Amino acid sequence: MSHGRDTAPKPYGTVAGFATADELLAATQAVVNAGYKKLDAYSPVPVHGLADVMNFKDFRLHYGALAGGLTGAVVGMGLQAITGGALNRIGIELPAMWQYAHNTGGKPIFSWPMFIPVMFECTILLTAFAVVGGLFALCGLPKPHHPIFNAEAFHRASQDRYFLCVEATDPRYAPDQVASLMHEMGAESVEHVMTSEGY
Amino acid sequence: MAYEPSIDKSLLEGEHTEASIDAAIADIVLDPKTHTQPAINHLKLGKLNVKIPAPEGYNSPWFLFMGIGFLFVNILLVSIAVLVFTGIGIWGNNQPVGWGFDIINFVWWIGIGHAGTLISAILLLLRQKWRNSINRFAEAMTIFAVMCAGIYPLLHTGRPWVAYWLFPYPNVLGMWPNFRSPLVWDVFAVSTYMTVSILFWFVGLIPDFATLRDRAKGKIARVAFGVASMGWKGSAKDWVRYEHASLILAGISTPLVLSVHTIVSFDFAMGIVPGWNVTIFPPYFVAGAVFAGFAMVITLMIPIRKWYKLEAFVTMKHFDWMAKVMLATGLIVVYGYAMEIFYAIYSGVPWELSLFHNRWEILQAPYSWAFWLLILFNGIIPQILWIPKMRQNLTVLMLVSASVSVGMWFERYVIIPISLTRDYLPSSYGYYTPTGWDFAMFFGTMGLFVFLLLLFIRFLPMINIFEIKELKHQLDHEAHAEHGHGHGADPEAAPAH
Amino acid sequence: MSDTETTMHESAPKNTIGTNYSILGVLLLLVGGGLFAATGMGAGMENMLRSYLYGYMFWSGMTIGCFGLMLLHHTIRARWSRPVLRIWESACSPLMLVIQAVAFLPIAMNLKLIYKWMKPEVVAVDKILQNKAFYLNPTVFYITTFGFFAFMIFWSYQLQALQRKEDATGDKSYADKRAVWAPPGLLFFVLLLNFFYTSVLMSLDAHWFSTIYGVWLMVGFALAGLAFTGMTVGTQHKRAPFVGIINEKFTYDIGVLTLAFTLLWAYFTFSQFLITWSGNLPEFTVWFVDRSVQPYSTLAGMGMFAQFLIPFIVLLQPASRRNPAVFAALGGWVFSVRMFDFYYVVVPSLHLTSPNALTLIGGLFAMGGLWLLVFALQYKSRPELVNGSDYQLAANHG
Repeated sequence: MSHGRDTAPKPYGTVAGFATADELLAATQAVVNAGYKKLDAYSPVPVHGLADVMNFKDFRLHYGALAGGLTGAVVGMGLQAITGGALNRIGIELPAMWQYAHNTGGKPIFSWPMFIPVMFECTILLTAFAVVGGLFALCGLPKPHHPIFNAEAFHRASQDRYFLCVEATDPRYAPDQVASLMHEMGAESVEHVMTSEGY
Repeated sequence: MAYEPSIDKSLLEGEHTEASIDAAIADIVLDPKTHTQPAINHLKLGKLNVKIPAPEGYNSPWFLFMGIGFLFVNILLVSIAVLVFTGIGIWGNNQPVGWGFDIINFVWWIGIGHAGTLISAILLLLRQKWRNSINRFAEAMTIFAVMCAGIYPLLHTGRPWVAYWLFPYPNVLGMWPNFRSPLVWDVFAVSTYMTVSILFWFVGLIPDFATLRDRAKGKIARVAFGVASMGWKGSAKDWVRYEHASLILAGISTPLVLSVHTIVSFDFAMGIVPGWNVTIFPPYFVAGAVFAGFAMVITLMIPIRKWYKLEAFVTMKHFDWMAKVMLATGLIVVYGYAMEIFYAIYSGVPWELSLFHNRWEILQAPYSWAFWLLILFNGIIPQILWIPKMRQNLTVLMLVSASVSVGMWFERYVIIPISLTRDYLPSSYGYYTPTGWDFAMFFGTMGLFVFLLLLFIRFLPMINIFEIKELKHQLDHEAHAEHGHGHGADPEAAPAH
Repeated sequence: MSDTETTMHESAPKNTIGTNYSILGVLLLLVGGGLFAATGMGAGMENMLRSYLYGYMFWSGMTIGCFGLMLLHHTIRARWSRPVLRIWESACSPLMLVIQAVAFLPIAMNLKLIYKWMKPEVVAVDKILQNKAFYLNPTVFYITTFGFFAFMIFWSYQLQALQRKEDATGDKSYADKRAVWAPPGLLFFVLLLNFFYTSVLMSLDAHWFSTIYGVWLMVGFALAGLAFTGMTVGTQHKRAPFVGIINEKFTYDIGVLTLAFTLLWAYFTFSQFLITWSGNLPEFTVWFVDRSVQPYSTLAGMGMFAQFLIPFIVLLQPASRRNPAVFAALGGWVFSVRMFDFYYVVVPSLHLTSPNALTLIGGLFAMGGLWLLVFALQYKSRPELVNGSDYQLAANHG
């Protein structure tokens, strides 16, 4: 993204539509072989193998989930231990407001086996938040507008067509060459897409 | 040549293109015309053939059941209003039975919800492709069932407007919840379950929202689905993250769903009431939940598939699988009953022996009728599903599922009032009789469930569109290539049958 | 470890399962038997028999666990487990079961020396034991134990005969016949197993009972069976006939199943403890009170880490689920830890008057030697792979 406030439409890239996932896969391979780096493919279903062709790897969600889960476990157990008055027992004084030592069923103040269920639920909850939040953040959702939507045929990307976009930010980007390569690979439609006014 | 086909061909019937899949599923939501050609507008009652009244432009069964659902939602609202103004004395709960219909129905509804998570999460982890057609619907069912369930404990607190007291938060009283109480665990489990189910459901819906956004003709629909899709473009990079997210969510939902019903079983098992302090309760409750949930999915799927002509997507193969799961979980549940009875006798302890007596003695014990009905509905009738032909007969499946739903309700009925009225002391001997308001609220939540489900059918795609397309791709690949080294289509996962 | 190569299939060296386990079996039998005799002789018949019970029940549990896995395999018509079906079949072959039943005779013939409920003077003053006399008596004991063996022998014979016929003829329709036998078998198995363990182990603590006990032990032994399987084939994946068959897909699937059983075991163990601990009723807590002293409390803590946490963390990594070498190590680990855990479950209930860990270990080793020897002989006596085990090879060759 550029830092200037120049909001006139600029070229975004060249978008080609294909009829099948296999054609998209072949076209992506060809574009990658031709040395383009800045590209993305759009499809109504996940196309397996596409990420490998694009050399795209992203495991950040897994780490996010792990971090969320560990936080949840610590928060869950900590919440129960601290508010249950366990810190007092080991000599750490807390304001009375922060703890209430229940004596129930003759169980110890730090009844860790009985704290496992809530700890578990907190782990799951924070993992879920981390994963869904992470997914939104990584995919840039919500983002109602994107230049790719300016492509005429793009409304079928969620239905029955497969699109490949070589972006204008690619150092080797040359609209005509990309277009002819796309036609060669059997594209049904090829469009040069501009960014929208004001973006 | 593959030794055996990886994915069962019969999971998707007929010839499909991506456009025809979109048309069949998305247009139920987008195109009011699919509702003007009702599959059924007559109700057959013996020789009578009653026309279902419906205004022009509505799918008749949808309109009819929406009307019924709406009626019962109102009954629910009235009973809630009376309860809030009068107090929970309008229910039949009283000493010694402090937990009556409220907890029975709570457990019943929560259990029904579990099939949705099981289908969407566990079957995703096991790479079972037959989940693709039913997971969306089952997840919706989960959310609505949990909503119905949540009403009961909320109202049973007597003061639902201070329900936030259940959560830990710093307050001027300096009070914190007693985290040793399984009821507090319930608060955490059910609210986590609700939240995670909604997140999982919503994440699953995002690509379908994009499809609907792009297919919508009307402006309102386009804007609404556009907002809901949040600008999903189906980028290959996004799909990679999306699939990671789905798998992780499935991975955490699986233990979550087990934990929820385990914690529900702890509500009983943590106490020392005879018949409640039973170590087999957690797995046996979980199995019972899955049992009831699959029964409900079958009960709902049979008519809806017919009304909306979804036979191609929800095939007899799906029913066969669901019936098998129902049979297997049903056997686990019956095993649980057998073990409860056996160890009550084996224990040699007087109060455990009396528990056995109160269930078994058909002429002497006041609640034995409930126990024997339970055995009939859950133990005997479902055994008909051993016969493969019966699993292919929708009428039989419908009846068996209904029997299971009733049976699972009786299971909780047997556990709760019997144990509470036959405790350690003769002073707690009693009999529990529900009142009209108990029934009003029970049927009211059923109405709410139907009401919400029908709204869901009308406004959201009830079958996961992109996963059906994915299934079609995989089937095509297997038909074409000799053996595509598929990532998603792992041969071992699909049982050879 | 690199991936296996299908081209190596024909030229790979022969696997050494039969040989290894025969040698190990003889060795263990000699060492264990010697240890058992040397340390047990002086301690009296009572202590010897009870120590024998521990070793016996562990290895009969291995047979029972593998029998359950075999039933599960045929019930769901699993495909991924075909390459190891022969291992499970050897572990629960009719001959193995007959030997197990014979090895049970020393216990069955000396109930008086083992069980409190066999002593009339104890029962005479114990109301609860009088109430339980309908079940806790020699007749029911023999029915529930030998009946269980008879059931397993019959079912095992049926299923293995049908499998043998398929292997001989290549006729895949035998799978349908097995799928008719297996589901009711699984049903009877879970039910009868429960009575078996109630009679033999639960009644050691004559007052105590727990409804999940049988299923809990079953899950533990299925886990031990899986670990043994993983250990066995994980070390042999470069040898014939496993080359290309014990590949990363196979280890992925057995890894997922092992993970599932690990979680199930932990779930049952924890919920049983939590319910008992919370209820705090004397007739239930006695079992945990007996285990709250050393060395059992250490074993319990170790169980949490060694049997749950470590396998859980290892199996959660997709990378380790795809590696036969990791799986061999993990299988060995879990299998060994199962013995310690079973020590925790059984030994405090034996109420040994002069407990000697060496006698217990001697008995365990001796029985293990016998088991491995029979296993090896059975494994050698039949084709190593069942029909259709190599479907992945066929698929890869195109």
